[in-house]
Amino acid sequence: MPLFKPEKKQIAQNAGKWDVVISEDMCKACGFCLQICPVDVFAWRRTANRLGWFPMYVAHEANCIGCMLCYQICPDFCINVAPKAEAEPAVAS
Amino acid sequence: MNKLAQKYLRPSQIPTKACHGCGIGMIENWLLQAIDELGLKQEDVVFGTGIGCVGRQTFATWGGDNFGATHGRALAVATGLKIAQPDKKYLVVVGDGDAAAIGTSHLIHAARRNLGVTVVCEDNMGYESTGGQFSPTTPAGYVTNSSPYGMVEPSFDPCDVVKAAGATFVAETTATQWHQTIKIVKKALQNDGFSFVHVRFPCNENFGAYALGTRDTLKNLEWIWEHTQGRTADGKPTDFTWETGIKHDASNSRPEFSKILRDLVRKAGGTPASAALDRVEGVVVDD
Ligand SMILES: Cc1ncc(C[n+]2csc(CCOP(=O)(O)OP(=O)(O)O)c2C)c(N)n1
Ligand code: SF4
Ligand code: SF4
Ligand code: SF4
Repeated sequence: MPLFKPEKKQIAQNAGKWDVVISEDMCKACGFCLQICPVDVFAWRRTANRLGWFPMYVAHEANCIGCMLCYQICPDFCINVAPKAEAEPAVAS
Repeated sequence: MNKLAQKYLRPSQIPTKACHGCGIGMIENWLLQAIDELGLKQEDVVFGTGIGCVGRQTFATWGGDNFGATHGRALAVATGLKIAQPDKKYLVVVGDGDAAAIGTSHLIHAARRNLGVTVVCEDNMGYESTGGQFSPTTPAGYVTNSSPYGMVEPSFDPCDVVKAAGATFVAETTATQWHQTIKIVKKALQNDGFSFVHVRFPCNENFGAYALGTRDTLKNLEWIWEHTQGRTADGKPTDFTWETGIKHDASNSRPEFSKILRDLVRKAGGTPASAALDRVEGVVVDD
């Protein structure tokens, strides 16, 4: 079984509950996060960062299922994934 | 920057000095997770490195105490530090050339003495910082900068050597086995004795380019994964397979080296040197 599976799944279950943050200024564009993510969250930027690489950015955060594979595989400490803070309950007026 | 890098590393040293797609940073990230899961703080761990890509990348990234030693000599420095400050955890992160070529004798004797350090040998299967020459862990037959007709020597397994020498914890993993690596490093750090963790990782710039004919980051990491699984992505058996996991676990089964020395000095009657050693432990002895 390959490590990088080209096909992305459409997983709605558990999605939309995660904040995914990439430090684009540190990304060296290895492409690991894009390839390992089982759903479609990442995409390439078209502008270079200060290191001269065209970094990854979070294109579809709502797809994230919080599997942390991207966090584990990034060799440059760029990625943070955390549960979204619960929405503030609306204050009754 | 990820949370643990913010907690434990020096921001000025990040992004890493490694090439893109190099496995050194991944393994360092997993070391941070092991340290964090054990509840260790910056001041509890001394991070030591040697020379080479692994040394250059990891040197001075650790926010707490750290040292960079000359090539192959990180364990000599760690021995002195462990004797002087026995209560810290020592994490010595070195390349395969550092651990298994120029530093082999230091490695063997640290294992024999059961020195209380954890050695993480990050193995890219060559001397990559000096241009991709072969090292003792280059698989036989593989082309490198200095073996254009294929590596003629059989390769050498540092795990077997340290185990035979007396290491109390020995394990092997690869840069595609994050959960296993974190679990193993945690066990290694809990052994009050000599622990050796061998981790293979991809080098795109040299090993990848010469031996595998590609600088494609994805192909190089996939190659590591295939040799861990014993199967290529299309299901064929690989030319060889790395057996990973814990290879020997006799954690805390025999006394640690610096402890033996301190006990001996006390038995010999307490010289000023032993008093100094006792002070380090918080017990002040009149001399
Ligand atoms: C005493 C000494 N001999 C030789 C060198 C040259 N040298 C620098 S790095 C290196 C190879 C490092 O290989 P390895 O330990 O596998 O680390 P890598 O660069 O592959 O991470 C050598 C031979 C040196 N710095 N010091
Ligand atoms: S945690 Fe990372 S790899 Fe997993 S779904 Fe979210 S973005 Fe993708
Ligand atoms: S894994 Fe990290 S360095 Fe590689 S492309 Fe993704 S964010 Fe960038
Ligand atoms: S030369 Fe190889 S081992 Fe060294 S930093 Fe580059 S990819 Fe990593």
